[in-house]
Amino acid sequence: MSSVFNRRTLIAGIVAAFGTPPLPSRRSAEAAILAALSDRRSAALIGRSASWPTQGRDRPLDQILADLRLEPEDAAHMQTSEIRRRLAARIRADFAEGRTIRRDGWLIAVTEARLCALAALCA
Amino acid sequence: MIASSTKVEANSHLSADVIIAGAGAAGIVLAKRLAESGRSVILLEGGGLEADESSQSLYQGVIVGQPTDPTDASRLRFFGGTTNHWGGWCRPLEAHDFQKRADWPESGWPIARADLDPYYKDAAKLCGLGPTSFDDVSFWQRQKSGGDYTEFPFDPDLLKTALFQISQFYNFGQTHKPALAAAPNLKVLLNANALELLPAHASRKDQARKSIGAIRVRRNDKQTFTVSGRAYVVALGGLETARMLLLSDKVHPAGAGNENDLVGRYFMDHPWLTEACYLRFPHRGFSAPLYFGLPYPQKIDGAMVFGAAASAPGLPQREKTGGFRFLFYPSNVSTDGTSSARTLLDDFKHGKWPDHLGQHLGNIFADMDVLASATYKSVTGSRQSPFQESGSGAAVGAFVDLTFEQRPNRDSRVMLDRSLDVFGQRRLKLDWRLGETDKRTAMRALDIAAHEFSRAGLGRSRIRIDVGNGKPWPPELRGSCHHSGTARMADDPKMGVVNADCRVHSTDNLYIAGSAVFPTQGYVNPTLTIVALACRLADHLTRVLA
Repeated sequence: MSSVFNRRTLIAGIVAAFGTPPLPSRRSAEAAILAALSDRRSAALIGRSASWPTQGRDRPLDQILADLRLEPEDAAHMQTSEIRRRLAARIRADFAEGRTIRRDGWLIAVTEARLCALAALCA
Repeated sequence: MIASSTKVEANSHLSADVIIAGAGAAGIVLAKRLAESGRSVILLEGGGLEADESSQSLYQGVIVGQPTDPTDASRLRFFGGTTNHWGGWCRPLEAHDFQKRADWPESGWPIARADLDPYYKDAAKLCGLGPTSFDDVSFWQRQKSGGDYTEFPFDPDLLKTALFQISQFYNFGQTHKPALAAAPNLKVLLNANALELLPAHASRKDQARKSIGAIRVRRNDKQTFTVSGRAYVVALGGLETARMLLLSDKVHPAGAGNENDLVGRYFMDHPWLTEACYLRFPHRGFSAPLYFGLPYPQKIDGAMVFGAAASAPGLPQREKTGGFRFLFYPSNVSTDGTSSARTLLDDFKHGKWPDHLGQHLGNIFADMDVLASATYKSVTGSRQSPFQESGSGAAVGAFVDLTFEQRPNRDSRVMLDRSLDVFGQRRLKLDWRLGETDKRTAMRALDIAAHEFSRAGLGRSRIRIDVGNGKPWPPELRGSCHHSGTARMADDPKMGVVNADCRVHSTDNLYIAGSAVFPTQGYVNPTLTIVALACRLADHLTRVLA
């Protein structure tokens, strides 16, 4: 039996032993989307300092989910690679359709700005 | 034969079928083609075979408009002309560059691209280019060692890949000197300073068209002589051609061909914004050999080919801008992000709102992977990082230069200054002017490119130029030494100095060769078109002098 299996078994055992309250689907969706960021810390830094309008923690999440045409439950159970693929497609569409934001000369997609804002709010 | 003008007797008179002033790209090609067709030719070159300070100083002028390169630095006054420092970049003008635009009344050539196409082929040979495939990337991909020339997937309505070739005969003097020296009916006179055009004695003021009777030439020892022919061609470049016409006030009081106050006006150059944009690649080592090979692209099938991102056909008219092109210069230097992140974190930690927030933000965006690497090392205490770092050799981004087409502007002009050169002739005064359309071109070009670069997966762009809302041009704006428009071509004498044959409207035997005749100039370097027009003019003169 490999050490990885042992560790997984141990973690599973701890979870089973102590139990965990089910996460609300919105928080799970949030976690799934943030997991798709390759550098969450930098994104959070940018989101915190760029002062993009966020209107509360759920606002950027709702916008991202709406843009990706996903319900929170769907996002929560989606593979990270699939979320990345959808985000990349959405960001490409943002650039093609001019949904962009400019800060200090940098041109970024609205979806990228929302991801940074979300990362900042969840940091 | 190539000889010094000192061999010509003072106050003497020489003659040939065609007299050409200026041994640059246009003059050399024209002389060579005419001699090959059996015409006798005298080619006057103001300088010698090598660069010479005193000759070069005759190109000194006064710049009063938009700052640009000094007039005695942008052009060279010796055999071969400005090809002696030419970069060799070649590409034909686009077909739509010749067409009239509804929103630019000054636009429209009296000839079509199809009229020049056969001459572009000749010009390509004279410039030592490879196969004349300037728009088909797949052609080059099929050649040996061209397989990695992958095209960026631009939206064809917005950007295109414009292929350029670098001339292998870029020094026209050295390349064509043996042929010129061997031609029995061609005389190249060096240090033969063409001072002014003189009217033919038979010309009367009331004649519909004037005739040129001679060119007055000065030797370096200040002795003069005259040369006369059946046809005269001024091929002195976009600045000096206008100066010579304006100095020729015996032909017309306002200058030869200047009956409609057009000589010297509509001066154009290609405005060049170096590092107008920084493109941060999606990952380190991002490679695109077709675009990233400058300044020395690899040879494919004997040709040096590279790509630029250029305005798509139809886009300038749609956007009411000039044409434009972007060139990529990859860079592996980027450490700003780490220091910016540290500054921001420190400031936030101490409850301080950071100064220059936008600048730091940009740096962090640019250096996401550098930051990731630094964070990894900091957290793990490791000296190694699974993330790549900057400065390791592979490019992390590219500086992107923007060059664009200037809208013809009547007030942008070459004039005569009051100061005199050593021959007692008035120096030129350059008043280069750019307008609001040109600012619009720069801003729209950058915006379109930044969106397209991101959409096409090339990375993220930082636009470093802002000339919107009345802001001035940045100091880094410069010209490209592509002087043109000062003796523009048009069917209507009220709109142009020369007609479609490059003949000065008001004369029957004076022609202009070179970029001075361009009514518009697209985004493309002019030399291939200059050479093509010279080939076409040679055919025309061969016909009319037969």
